[in-house]
Amino acid sequence: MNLDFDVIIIGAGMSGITAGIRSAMSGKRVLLLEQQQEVGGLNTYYKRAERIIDVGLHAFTNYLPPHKGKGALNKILRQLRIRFEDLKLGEHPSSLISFAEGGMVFGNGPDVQTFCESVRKLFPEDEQRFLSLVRTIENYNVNFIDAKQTQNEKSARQELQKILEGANPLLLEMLLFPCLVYGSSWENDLEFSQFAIMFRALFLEGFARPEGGVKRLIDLLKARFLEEGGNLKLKCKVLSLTEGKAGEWRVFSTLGVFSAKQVISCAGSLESYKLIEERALPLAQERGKLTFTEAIFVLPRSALVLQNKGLPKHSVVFYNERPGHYRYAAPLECTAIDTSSALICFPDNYLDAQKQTIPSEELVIRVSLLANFDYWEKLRKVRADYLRAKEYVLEESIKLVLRYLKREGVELSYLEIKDKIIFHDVFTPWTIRRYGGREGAAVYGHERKSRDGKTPYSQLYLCGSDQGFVGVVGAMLSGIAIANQYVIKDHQSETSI
Amino acid sequence: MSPLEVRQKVVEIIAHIAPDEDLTSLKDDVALREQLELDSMDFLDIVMELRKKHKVEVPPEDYPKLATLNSCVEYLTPKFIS
Ligand SMILES: Cc1cc2nc3c(=O)[nH]c(=O)nc-3n(C[C@H](O)[C@H](O)[C@H](O)COP(=O)(O)OP(=O)(O)OC[C@H]3O[C@@H](n4cnc5c(N)ncnc54)[C@H](O)[C@@H]3O)c2cc1C
Repeated sequence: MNLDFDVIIIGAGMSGITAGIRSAMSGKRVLLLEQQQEVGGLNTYYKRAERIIDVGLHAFTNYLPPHKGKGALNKILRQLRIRFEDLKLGEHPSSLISFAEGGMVFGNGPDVQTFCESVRKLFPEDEQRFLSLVRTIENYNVNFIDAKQTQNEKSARQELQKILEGANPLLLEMLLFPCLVYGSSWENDLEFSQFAIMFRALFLEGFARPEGGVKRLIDLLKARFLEEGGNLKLKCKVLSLTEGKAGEWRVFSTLGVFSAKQVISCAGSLESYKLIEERALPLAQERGKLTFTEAIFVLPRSALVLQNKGLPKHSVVFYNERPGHYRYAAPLECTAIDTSSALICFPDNYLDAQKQTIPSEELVIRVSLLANFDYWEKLRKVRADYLRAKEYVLEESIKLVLRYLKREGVELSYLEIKDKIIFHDVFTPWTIRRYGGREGAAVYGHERKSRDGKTPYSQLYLCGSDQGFVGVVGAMLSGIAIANQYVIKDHQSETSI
Repeated sequence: MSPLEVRQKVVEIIAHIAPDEDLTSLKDDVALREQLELDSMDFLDIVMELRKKHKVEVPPEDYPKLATLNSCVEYLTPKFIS
């Protein structure tokens, strides 16, 4: 039978494009379909005056400087034949987990010296327990594409209680915050192997940011895909999928119908099944509930240099105000956002960021807040309400940053800062839903994952968030692993028979 | 193709996959994994490049035969000839 392609990939999110690169590298005819006008998915950027504004990216995880060993990021780039140097990564100097009870500072791995000092200061009794957790994670092997992982789900909270037995419960809360907010599709917990992945990604390896922001990565990935002979169609929305008589897939899109033996989708599990059967609900996995608003504001640097304290020095701040615990869940009904915690990011604080994405006398602050999708879906129906809600997010985000700075000993008034804002933008769950197409704007996908990428349909595979690896680096790994397993390896077992 | 040439081809492939590794002092009888930072994803790439560059197929059950340079040469030489 004459098929148009060997593999069609739905969605050019980070996972879709790496699945595309690997498939094309192995000599397959690959078609990558993306509804937006640029690749990257949730991680994208836009230009405003002389500024390039990143949409998704705060930081890459899994970074180790080359002289300190090989992090997961190095391995991924090797698989894609992208030179590590070409990403021009700048490390974070330090990041902070800030609770009312105290803060813990951490730097990049592989040693956890800075982190350990913080633990010793705040939890003098628990240093050994913390180190035994570090050793557990160092020795924990994660099988990447493993169906058993789904059956063996364990709660990270419960496992941590065992590993850290006798420790101050606040230590557990503080360690969970970054791992949850950077990678959990469950409320208030995550799967233990996912915790191990995140702990390694954030603390044993670490944060970095490419010079020029996410655009650098997007350009490199796109160029590699085209170099390997991949076909890319942008502004091409997939409308439906049908299985042909000979088991081939027929993909109906706004730019025509294409056939292929295999389909890989990064559009989400439920989202993909709905392309096949409108009533795919019996197959539906629990809809993910975790979504965010994101406020971005650009200030003159001078606005924050005050009281001889200099500028804030951390790159990422995990900021929490609830006494004794961190709440990682959709805000309650009729509440747009959770204003008791925030992920605050200072993207200009990465080292070696020679080429800034904004003029050098300016500074960007990004604030992500947990949001309630259902509420935003109602809000957006009345334009004036929606706009007012966006304004409210901006205000609350600024106030949270000011409350954080106050913890650091710098007092600034709201109006003082608000008046100096040069540029701002607010993304809501509705923006994310409209842009990426994910149900419920669930940033980390649905609650249930398909760790081996398989679906109820033959030759249809999932990569990205609903396979289970999240974040920019996780998504890239997911695409590679799925293509390796089903496009490259399985093809070989077939030809050998 | 002679065994020596096959060895050369394999080393070329490894150099392509892992450009930052030093391959000058590779020992032929020691597992590649022990000498280089190669993981299973990298071994898959050796297989992929063998197929792309030299039309040589290695089915998954034979992957263990690529463990050392010696075993690579022993296993691959007849395949390069046919
Ligand atoms: C505000 C925000 C900040 C973040 N910050 C970070 C960070 O600092 N560090 C980090 O590591 N991660 C971060 N993330 C998470 C990270 O962006 C995601 O985990 C990752 O990008 C997911 O990639 P993916 O490939 O799974 O899917 P997605 O990025 O969701 O890609 C799916 C793609 O499929 C396309 N698509 C969907 N349906 C169709 C269709 N029918 N036809 C055609 N195309 C379709 C979409 O347009 C999209 O391009 C952030 C996310 C958000 C929202």
